[in-house]
Amino acid sequence: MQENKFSEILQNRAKEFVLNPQATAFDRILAMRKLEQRKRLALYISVLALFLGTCLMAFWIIQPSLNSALPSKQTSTASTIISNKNTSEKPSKITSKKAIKIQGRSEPNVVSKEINPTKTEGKSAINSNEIPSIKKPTFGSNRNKETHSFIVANIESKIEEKQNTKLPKSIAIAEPKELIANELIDSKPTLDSSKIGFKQNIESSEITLTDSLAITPEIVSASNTEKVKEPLTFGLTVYNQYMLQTKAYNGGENQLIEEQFGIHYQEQAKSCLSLGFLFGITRQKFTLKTGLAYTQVQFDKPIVQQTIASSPLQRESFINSYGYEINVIDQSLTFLEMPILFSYKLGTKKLNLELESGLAFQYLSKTNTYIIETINNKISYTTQNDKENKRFKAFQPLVQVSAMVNYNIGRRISLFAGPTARFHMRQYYKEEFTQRNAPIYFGVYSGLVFKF
Amino acid sequence: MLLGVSYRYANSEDEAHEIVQLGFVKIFNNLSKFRFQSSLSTWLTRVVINTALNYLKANEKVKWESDIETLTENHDFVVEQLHQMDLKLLMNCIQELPTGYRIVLNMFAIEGYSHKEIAAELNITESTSRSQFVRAKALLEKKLISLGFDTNKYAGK
Repeated sequence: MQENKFSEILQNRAKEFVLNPQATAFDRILAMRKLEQRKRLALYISVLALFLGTCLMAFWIIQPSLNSALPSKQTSTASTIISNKNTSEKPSKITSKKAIKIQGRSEPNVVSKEINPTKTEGKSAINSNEIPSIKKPTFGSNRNKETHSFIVANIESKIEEKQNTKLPKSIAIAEPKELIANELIDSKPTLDSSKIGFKQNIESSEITLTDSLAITPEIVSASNTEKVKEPLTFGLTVYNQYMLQTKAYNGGENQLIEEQFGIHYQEQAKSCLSLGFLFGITRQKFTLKTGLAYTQVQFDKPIVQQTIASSPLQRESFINSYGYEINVIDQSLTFLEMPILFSYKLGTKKLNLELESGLAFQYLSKTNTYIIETINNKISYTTQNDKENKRFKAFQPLVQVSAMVNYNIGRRISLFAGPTARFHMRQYYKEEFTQRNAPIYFGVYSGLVFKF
Repeated sequence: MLLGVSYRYANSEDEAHEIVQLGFVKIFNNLSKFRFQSSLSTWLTRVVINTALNYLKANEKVKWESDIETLTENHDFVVEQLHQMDLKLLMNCIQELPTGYRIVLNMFAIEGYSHKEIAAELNITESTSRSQFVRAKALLEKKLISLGFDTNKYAGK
């Protein structure tokens, strides 16, 4: 009781207390607003620059190695024969101790290597102009009235705007320099403070902005309201994902080669880059997103990665006898992707966490890969796309799981970044293998969200 | 009105002006968010209170003491004198309270928040909020005594 009386008196006395603002107060407010707007603009620009920089860097990581490693059209139409018999020429590109000799041949789109399983003494040579570029493995790689009027007019216009649309109770604007907010006259305090954040027993009422801008309350009972449903929010997300594959998978097309030459081919997973945009609908903490993305998957094809020989000694013997070195050719697959993602936001503050999961459907739009085959007892590798298309499945469904840290840098824009994982739901290749050839990706998912 | 609110939370009049200015910047930036779910004055007050709390958190380390000391309180004296004393003097007494006490006293006694709401807002426990209020009230009483109010006449009541 004593506490209540104490509080009641204190409340009444506090309401009587009115201070006049300093003469320069409103100049300062306007200056502060301008400064804040400039800061915000600078922040947007820097974030955008950072985002673009990240995208460019991601491209830069992938593109150079691809461009340098892939053969030109001219070289892809040439073919070569690898022979360990010729030991007179020195390798120009490959720095291997063992050697490969490649001779030109006139077959289009086919590069072939002839293998003679006899032991040689000297080092063989390679004609680098005639084969796709080969490289070593790179895995993992105020005061005045005018100002007052401005502010008052600003508030008035905003209120009129609201009044015209959804103001449930009247707001009377008494004089040009007075603003009287006169709603909520009689109701009981039923405001849900926990949801709306206002205290109900705060008496509210008529507010008058005079020349001195003293805002004087008159005691009226508290306002009330009914719960308003959160409106739907639409957003655009621009993102990139740079991921590393954790799993190697078999090329698989060379069972005959394996049988004939005792060589086992395994394509080595490398990286995956996605760039895309998503449109999302948000209600409260849940968001449903969908959009389009461009995805490029990179993997290496070794010329000879390992032999089927089980013991190291046998393998060493094989390499010595054939004069082979482990070398790789960069390959890539390009997909058009449509993700359908569902996310839940934890926390509503400036910095919050968002958990996201969903599916992504990939359509293979371009291949830049090689296959290895045998032609007349010789190992050849070719860039024939029709063969590649036969080799890879055109549609690939994926499961994506992400945890993102969101930072709201403005009312309408936020930045996010976080770890992500993607799993292929089915095998990459059309052929069935005993080993599951569905790559798993782990990487970084980052981007910008615009709300409108 | 808003300046009066920020004056109660601030350490000085200049600080109160600064808080109101910051609050007005927020008000202009977020005027479109006002949905008429409460009165405009409530909303404006709320913005200024939040601004004041953020300002105090950012500019000084607020000390929260959770243990409740048994202090002699003369509620009758406080209540009677609160009616009579000069308003500016009363506000200055509140302003001179330690920041933690001042915030809780303002929020609980004047703004009408519950201890639960204060605890959630300030990220403290309810018991801390209660103890802060009891201490604030006791300290306010001491200040009134030091200002020359005689409590003895209430001793027999």
